[in-house]
Amino acid sequence: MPFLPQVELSETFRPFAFLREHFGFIPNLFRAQTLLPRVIEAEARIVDTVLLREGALSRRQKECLLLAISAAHRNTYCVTAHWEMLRALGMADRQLRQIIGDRRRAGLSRADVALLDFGLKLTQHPTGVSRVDIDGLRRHGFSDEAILEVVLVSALTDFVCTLSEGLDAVPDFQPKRIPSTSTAIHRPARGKTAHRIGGHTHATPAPYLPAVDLSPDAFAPFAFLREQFGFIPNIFRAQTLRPDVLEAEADVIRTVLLTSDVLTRVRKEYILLVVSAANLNTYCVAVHCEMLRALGMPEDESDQIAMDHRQAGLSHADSALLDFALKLSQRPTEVGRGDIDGLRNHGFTDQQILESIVMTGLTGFLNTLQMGLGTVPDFEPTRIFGVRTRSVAGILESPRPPGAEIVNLPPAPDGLMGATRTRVAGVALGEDADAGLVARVRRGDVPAFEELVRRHQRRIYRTLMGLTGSPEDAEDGTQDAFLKAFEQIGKFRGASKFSTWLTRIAINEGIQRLRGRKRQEPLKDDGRDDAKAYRPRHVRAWDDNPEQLYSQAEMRELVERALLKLPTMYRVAVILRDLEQLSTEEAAKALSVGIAALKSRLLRGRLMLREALAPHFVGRGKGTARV
Amino acid sequence: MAELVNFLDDQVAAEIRRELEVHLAHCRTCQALYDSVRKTLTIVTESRSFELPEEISSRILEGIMAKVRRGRRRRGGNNSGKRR
Repeated sequence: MPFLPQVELSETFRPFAFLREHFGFIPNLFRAQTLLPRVIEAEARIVDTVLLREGALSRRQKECLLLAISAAHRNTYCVTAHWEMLRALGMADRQLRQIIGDRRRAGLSRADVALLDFGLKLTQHPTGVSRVDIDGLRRHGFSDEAILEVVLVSALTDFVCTLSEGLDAVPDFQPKRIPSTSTAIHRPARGKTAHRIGGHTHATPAPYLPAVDLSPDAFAPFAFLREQFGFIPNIFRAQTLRPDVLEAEADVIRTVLLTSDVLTRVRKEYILLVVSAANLNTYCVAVHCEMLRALGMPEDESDQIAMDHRQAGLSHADSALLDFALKLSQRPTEVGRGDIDGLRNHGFTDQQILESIVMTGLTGFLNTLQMGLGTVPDFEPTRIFGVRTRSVAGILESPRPPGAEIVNLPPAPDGLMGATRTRVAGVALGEDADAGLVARVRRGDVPAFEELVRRHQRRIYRTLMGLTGSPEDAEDGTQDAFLKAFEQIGKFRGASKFSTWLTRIAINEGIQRLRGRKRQEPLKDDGRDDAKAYRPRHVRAWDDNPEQLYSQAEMRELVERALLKLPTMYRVAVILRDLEQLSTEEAAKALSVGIAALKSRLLRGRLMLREALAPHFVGRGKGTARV
Repeated sequence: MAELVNFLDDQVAAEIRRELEVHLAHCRTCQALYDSVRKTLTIVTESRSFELPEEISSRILEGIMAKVRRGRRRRGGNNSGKRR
């Protein structure tokens, strides 16, 4: 069932007639957006110009890209749709299975495999794309027009995948299963750090593709963009090889971003900013900070929203809206009906929710486009978004202002869980995304508790798996942690976020299980093996793109095995900080240790983990140095 | 070495960051170490390790909710009751 209600639109509604003519049916993805017909109209134009119109790439090549990237996003709706379309174009099921399983054995030409490789890299590791990749495509004989089309189709795939997850569109055909061994899957980014730039510019070189000169006086979309923004953003200048696409894009900008009848323009700019920052897209952040400035927002404020909107003093409703957009863009498969209801509880109408989904999808589209085109920022950015160590999940799940502590926990064992337990009335309940549900549970509302379990069980299970290494212990521990939380919810005062409180209960459960084992590892710091005493050995340069050496499944197995080799006290620090993406402060709180102790364990844990993974990732032919 | 965690988490003061960056630019060993730890973190973050399988997820949910409802019935709707 789609998340949002639909209204009946006349079958003569132009975009519907157009879609039926080209696809033979009206895809449910579009039917799920009937609350905002103008949006369907704009999207249909993009689909028309990018996918359906004849260009340098064949329809089949474009559909293969859509299929492979959708599978990498684990998006059943899009995989099903494009599988059927490729079948209609004469491809056999066996070949289609290979495209999403092992594209090198799908009987495609080497050039077509290179095309898919590029589309996957652009959507899965966008920050890794460089001129080298573009030159690689050229060597395979692709023209500049063809390369622009690959970038456009990849960006379109991101757009429709986000839309279908956010809307929960029902597949139009018998759903296709996506094998777990499918193409290496990594979301573009789960975290970010950003460096504020001093006096000098980290100049990005020129865009990858040549552009033809189009004068705004003769080309209406450019005149429109200049009129709206005061300049023609470079991202559009870089696409002049396809003026028809530019017209469609200008139309989407006009219909989705520049309208204020449903969501206000400022709220949409917020979404653009937050999602672009999460996607590490320096260009889009710079442009939209500038646009917010033109709308009267001081630079510092938009900068803060990009870095961590939770700390930007926004209203609870705005903050919830941005939480939703972030989740939809970074962890789309986890979006559920509960998220939509959460927005409704904040007073958002279904039309507004729909528009926020479209806006999130459009941002993904623009971000992918920019990364693929390598466009230069129109304004000097205040930050360069780069290495991902601070994560979006960290923001989504991090505590609000520091200064709150956990109260009323079962007695903690010595060692791992220290003795510090301060009672501070800090974070008000209203700031916790779970506060509404917690209040209902306290009034005896069992379904509200079920929703809390749904929201947090994955996180709690992961933490316990990481802690105990045993699926049985993790399963039982998760159950017991939630039951304990239910029992004691009357004592939970909201001095911390519910999720932090729950994590601590879960860690206690995990520790009790570890203690029950015969051979118990020391949980206590014995003073000898702190980080200072630890020296990494055999430091060798790693491969430039280690994440591309293994499939997602292999990578996961390597990481799990390496993590479980770490001594518990280091492992749990790494799991909370790097896997669960808690902030340093929150991880320290969950373990009842000071920040310095947490950092010391974290450093040791990370170094040991590096060493455990190194044999799989050291680059070939590079020298070894001893520390 | 102790600053490495802060550096990785982008939590060092500007001067120390500059010092570290200068050092990294000249010391190949530290560069390889920093780079490989950074890659380690990216790999861990994106690995989807210890993901909860769908069937276990529903089993956990059902198990918890069955016990919660049973506990409440026994206690006549009082939600502060003991489980099991």
